[in-house]
Amino acid sequence: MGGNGVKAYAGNVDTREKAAVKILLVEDDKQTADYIAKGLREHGHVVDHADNGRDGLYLATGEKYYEVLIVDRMLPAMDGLSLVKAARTSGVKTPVLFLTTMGGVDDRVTGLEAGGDDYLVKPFAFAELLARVGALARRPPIMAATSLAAGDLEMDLLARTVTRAGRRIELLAQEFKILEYLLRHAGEVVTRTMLLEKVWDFHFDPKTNIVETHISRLRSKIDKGFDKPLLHTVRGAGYVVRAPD
Amino acid sequence: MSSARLTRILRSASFRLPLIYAVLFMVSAGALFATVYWTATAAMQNDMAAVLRTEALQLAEIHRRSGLAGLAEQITRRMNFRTRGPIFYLLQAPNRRVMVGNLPGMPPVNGVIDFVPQPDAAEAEAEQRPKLTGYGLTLSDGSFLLIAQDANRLSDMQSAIVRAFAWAGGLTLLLAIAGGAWLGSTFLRRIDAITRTSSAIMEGDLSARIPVRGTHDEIDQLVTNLNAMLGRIQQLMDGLRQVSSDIAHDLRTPLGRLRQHLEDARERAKTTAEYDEATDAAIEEADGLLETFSALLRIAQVEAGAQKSAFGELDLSELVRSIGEAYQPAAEDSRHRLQIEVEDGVKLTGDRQLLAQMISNLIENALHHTPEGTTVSVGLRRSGAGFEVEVADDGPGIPETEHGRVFDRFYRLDRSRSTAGSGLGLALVKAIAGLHGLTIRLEDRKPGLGVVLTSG
Repeated sequence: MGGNGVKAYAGNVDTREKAAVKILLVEDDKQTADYIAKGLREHGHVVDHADNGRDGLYLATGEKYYEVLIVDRMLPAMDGLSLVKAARTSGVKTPVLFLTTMGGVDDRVTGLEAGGDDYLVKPFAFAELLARVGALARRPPIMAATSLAAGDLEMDLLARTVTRAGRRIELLAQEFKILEYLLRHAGEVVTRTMLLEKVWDFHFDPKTNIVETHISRLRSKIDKGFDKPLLHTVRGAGYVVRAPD
Repeated sequence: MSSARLTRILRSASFRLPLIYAVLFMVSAGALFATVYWTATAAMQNDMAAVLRTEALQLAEIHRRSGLAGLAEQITRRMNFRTRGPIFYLLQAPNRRVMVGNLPGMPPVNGVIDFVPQPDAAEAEAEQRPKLTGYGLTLSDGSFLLIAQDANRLSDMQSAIVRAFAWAGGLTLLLAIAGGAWLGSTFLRRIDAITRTSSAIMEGDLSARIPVRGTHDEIDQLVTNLNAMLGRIQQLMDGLRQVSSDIAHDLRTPLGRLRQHLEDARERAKTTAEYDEATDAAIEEADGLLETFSALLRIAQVEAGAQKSAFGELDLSELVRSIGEAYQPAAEDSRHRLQIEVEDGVKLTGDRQLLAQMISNLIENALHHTPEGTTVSVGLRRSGAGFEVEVADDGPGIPETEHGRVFDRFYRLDRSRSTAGSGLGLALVKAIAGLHGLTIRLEDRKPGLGVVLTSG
């Protein structure tokens, strides 16, 4: 269920080397909008805000260029789904993060069908929103990369092999998928919920520490015996794979 | 019987129906009456004519053999020895002189005639003259023979038929009205019982039930169904009441703790670290509460069957296997053995997300409620035309008496009260299974518990 119930709450996310992201926030609830805009600005992002769907669409399709749209599903004047559909129809390709209220299981499917790229269930931990905005803004171009790397770690996507400093590392299928996702977002924080969604396609919050236990096994395979760790835990936010300086 | 009640009976469907039938019966009886009346009359007329004609021809034969005098003698004899019914004779000579007979003279007519004899001066008695049916025959020497019979026999029969039909018809009508009134009042009494019960229920007595007569007729069946429906509604209402009070009760504790943490942060935290610790704990409580709400909402949505829009063809084998593998490291860390035995290629139309959550909940349930060293097995196999998903363990199991309740919202075994969990996991499992048409069964594995989901 999106970011709901995420155990990530501290805001001390590593912000270095993060460029400002130009964000359009379409949210009618003033308190929520202020909370989100303030938080994003504190992390160096540029936020414009519209409090209804019509103004939101006007801004999204206007002169100004945005890198990420954050759109609430329920909006006055024009609901979020219609807004995004209309924006997509008029050629706006900006990644969209939908905000939905909890309980709507179909919201994810309908949101993606309307042209959304990701969704987050309210209420959410701010770190979760920040990580997702980061992931959307820096979405790598869709191209068929055949290999990924971070430092001396290399992943061959065709042969499905991983080596570090030339040494072969055997990974289980799910460990491989986790590492692949982390490498694709190297340098960015990836939350536990994002891993649950992207690796296992779980859109609910398991009561078991599935992610933590897999990460700990993955870590022992790729970092054990090496001086400089690649896989870092960002307390209260998630994980990041970063090449050593 | 009060007049208001009488009006109701007269207006009731069960009275009007027999009445309509009575009218229909009267109409058909009328048609029958007409047929019988005309047929019997015609038959009797034919019969009388045939008798007279035979008699006339016999006498004509006597006339041919013995002449007019012989015939007169024969007629005189027959008049004295009448065998069947009063028969009247008239023999007139060609000069119209009455030779013999008990009828006045008349102009000769051949064939069947209906007539009332003209009074003879000599026979002008007070006796009323009957209407007669006769058969006239002019004989070879010009003399005229007439044989006649009392036509009142016919009208006697006709009035007998009319009387019989009038009695039978009247009686039928009376019975129909009385029967209709009786049926109507019986029917009304039973309808009244239903009305009374529904009024009682509307006034709040949910336990009220309609009395069953035990005759196993249609109304009894209806009443039985209505009672069953009322039972189901009451059960649902009780469930709802139970859930509401459970929600109130189960949320009060974490809300209380949340308040405690916030108070701690405000009153006691002296360092940033202490403050962080208290607020982190508060956020964790809030997250737990949100999770409970979200699970409740999800159960409600799934139970309402509103989730079928996300249904699609999916590979259940792959899904079960990948979920099993997802839990493998966590199971190892909690010192459980997780065995996964999945038959390949089991396909299913369903909601991938919900099925994933269902299987996850079952595995988590097994991992969380069994001690270290327990083996948890996750299986998927074909069975008959469908398949079976099984999550079993060799842990302490749960008492058979509790089997019926573990799928209730907020239900938790006493020994699980202290562990984390909302008590909603299995309720959601049940709802998702129901949405996918899967039946769910608990098995005592002695030791341990098996949860089996069967398709079809």
